[in-house]
Amino acid sequence: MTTAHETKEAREVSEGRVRLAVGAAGLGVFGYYTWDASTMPLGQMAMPGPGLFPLIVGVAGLISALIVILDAVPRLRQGSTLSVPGGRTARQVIGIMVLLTAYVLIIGSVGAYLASILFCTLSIKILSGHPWWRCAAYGTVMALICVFIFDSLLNVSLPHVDLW
Amino acid sequence: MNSLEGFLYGLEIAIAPELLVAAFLGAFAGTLVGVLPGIGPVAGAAVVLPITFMYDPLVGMVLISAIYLGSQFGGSITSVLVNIPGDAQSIVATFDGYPLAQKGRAGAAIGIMVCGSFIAGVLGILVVLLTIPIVTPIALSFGPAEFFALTAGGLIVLSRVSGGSIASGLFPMAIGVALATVGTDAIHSYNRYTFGMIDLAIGISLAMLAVGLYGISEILYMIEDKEGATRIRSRIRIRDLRPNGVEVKSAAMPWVRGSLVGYGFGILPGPSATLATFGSYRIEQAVAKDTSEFGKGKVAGLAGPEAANSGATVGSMVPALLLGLPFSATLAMMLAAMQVHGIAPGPLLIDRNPELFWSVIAALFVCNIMLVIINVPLVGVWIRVVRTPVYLLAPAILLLGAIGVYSVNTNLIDLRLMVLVGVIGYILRKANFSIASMLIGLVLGSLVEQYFLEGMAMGAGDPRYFLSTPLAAVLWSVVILTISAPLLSQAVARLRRGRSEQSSAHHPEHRA
Repeated sequence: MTTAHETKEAREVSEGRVRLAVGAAGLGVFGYYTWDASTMPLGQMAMPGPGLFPLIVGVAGLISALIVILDAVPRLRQGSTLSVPGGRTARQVIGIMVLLTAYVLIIGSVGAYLASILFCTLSIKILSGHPWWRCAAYGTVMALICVFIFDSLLNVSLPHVDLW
Repeated sequence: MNSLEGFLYGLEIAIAPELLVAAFLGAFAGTLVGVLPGIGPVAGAAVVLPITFMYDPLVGMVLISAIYLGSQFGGSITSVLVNIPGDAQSIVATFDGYPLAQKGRAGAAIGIMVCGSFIAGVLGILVVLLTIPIVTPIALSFGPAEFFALTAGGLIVLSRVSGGSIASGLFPMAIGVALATVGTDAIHSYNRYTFGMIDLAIGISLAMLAVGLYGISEILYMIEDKEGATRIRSRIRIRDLRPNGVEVKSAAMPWVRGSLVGYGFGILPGPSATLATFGSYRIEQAVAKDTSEFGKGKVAGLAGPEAANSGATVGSMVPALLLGLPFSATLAMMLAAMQVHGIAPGPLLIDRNPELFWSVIAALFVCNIMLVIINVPLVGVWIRVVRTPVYLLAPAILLLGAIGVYSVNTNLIDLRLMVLVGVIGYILRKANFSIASMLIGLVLGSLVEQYFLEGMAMGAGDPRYFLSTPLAAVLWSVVILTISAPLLSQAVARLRRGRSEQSSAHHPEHRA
C-alpha cells in the first residue's frame, strides 16, 4: 500500500554521472554514425557525395559529446544532483512508458480502436487507481472519441483489423 | 496599381461573405489543430487541402491562410497552458509563457499573445505594403552562400539561445542535424541510416520528434508533478485576459520589435517563424537590463517572440506568393492548392492575378481580427483542457499525439520512434539539456546540407565561396557578434569584478 509520503518521494542522483553517461552514449552513437558516413561515397570537394555532410556532422557530434563529458567533470566535483521520481510516481512513469510502448507495438495487429481502448483504460488505472469498471468506462469513451474524430471525421487512415 | 490601392482592392474582396466565413472557419480550425497536441499546422492544412479544391481558389487560399495563422497561435496557447508547443515556432512560448501561467497569470499571458499577434499582423501588413517593391530584388539575389550563412549561422546562434552550458545546446543540436540526414538523400538518391527500412527512406518526421520530445516528456513530468496543472487558475474570465498596466508597458516595445523581427525573418528562406521567435527572444535578452528573469515568466520573453511568430507568418507569404518559394510545409500546401487551380505563384502573380495576391494579403488582416474574436471568448475552453485531471489528460494527450504522428506519414515506424525519442527527451530534460535545440537541428539540418552542397558546387570545391559575397559576410559577422556578445560581456564583468576586488584589497578602509 502506498502512502502520501511515498507518492511524493523523489530521489537525488548525481548530475555529473548522468551527463557523463549521456556523453559516453553520445560518443558511441556518433562514433557509429561517423563510421557509417565514412563508408558512404564521399565524392569530391566540388561535387560532394552523400557521405560528406554526415561525416562533418558526425565529427561535430563527437566533439559535442566530448564537450558534454568535459562539462560533466566539474559537476561531479561540485556534487550537483538531479531529482528523479521514486516510489509510486516512478512506477507510474515507467508504467505509462511500458503501456505506450505496448500500444505502438500492437496497434498494427489489433487495430486503432482496440489498442486505444486498452491503452486508455490501463493508463487511467495506473494513474488514478479507480475501480476497473470506471477506468474501462472512461478509457473506452476517450479512445472512441479520439479515434472516431481522426478516423471518421478527418479521414486519417488508421490501422484497422476485421474485428473492428 | 500601387501597394495601398492593391491592399484596399484586396480588402474589398476579402470582406465578401464567403471569404469572411472561410476566414472564420479557418482561424477556428487552425487554432483547434494548434491547440491539440501532436497535430500541427502541416497535418491540419493537409486535412483541409482536399476540401479547398471544391471551392473558388480564393476561398481555398483564405482557408489555408487562416489555418496557418490560427495554428501558429493555437500552438502557442498549449505552450503557455501545458508547456507543450504545438510546433517548432511555439517552443519559445514555453520559456516564459508557461512560468507566467504557473504564477497564475495564464489569462494575461494569453492576452499578451492575442494582442501581440494582432499588432504583429497589422504591422506586418503595413510593412508588406511598404517593402514589396524593395524586397523582391533582394530575395532574388540570395544564393547558396547567403542561404548557407542564414541556416548554418542560424543553427550556431540558436544552440546558445536557450541558455545553459555550451554542451547543453550543442549536443542535442548535433543529434537533430544528424537525424536530418536520415532517409534518402534527395540529390544522390542514396539511402542513409535507413537500416533497410523503407519507411525510414522519407526521413525523420518533425511531428514525431516534436511529440516525442515535448509531448511524451511533458506528460511524464506532469505525472511526476500532479499538482502543477492545478496551480493554473481553474477559471479564466474574459477580463482576466487583460494584462495589467505593468505587463502592457513591459510588452509594448517587445511587440513592436518582435513584429519587425518576425517580418524580417518571414521574408527569408528557412523555417522563418521558428528562427524569428528564437531571434526575437535573443534580442529581448540582449536589450533587457536584467536577464535573470528570462525563463521565469518575463513578459518580454513572451510578447516579443509571439509578435515575431505572427510577423513571420505574414512575412513568409511574400516570398511564397511573389517568388513561388514556400519556406514551410504549410506554405507549400498553399502553393499546391494554387497550382491545382491553375494559378502560378511567382513574380508575375501581382500582374496576372492582382485580385488573388492582394486578397490573400488583406485576408491575413481579416484573419487576425477573427483570431481575436475567436480566442477571447474561447480561452475558457482551452483552460478547461488544463483543469482535466492528470489521469484523463495524460492518456488523452498521448493518444492524440500518437494518432497525430501516425497521420502525417501513416507509418508505424514513426510511432515507435516517437516512444524512443520520448525516453531520450525525458532523460535529456532531466539532465538539463536543451531539447529545443534538437528540434531546430532537425528543421535546419537538411537546409544546411542542401546549401552546403550547392555552395561547394558553385565554388568549385573552395570553401571560401561561403564568404565570397558581401551579404554572406554580413550574415556571418552577425552570427559571430551574437555568439561573442554574451562571452565578451561576461569577460568584461569578470574584469570589472577583479578590478574592484583588487582596489578593495589595496584600500581596505573602503570595505567598511
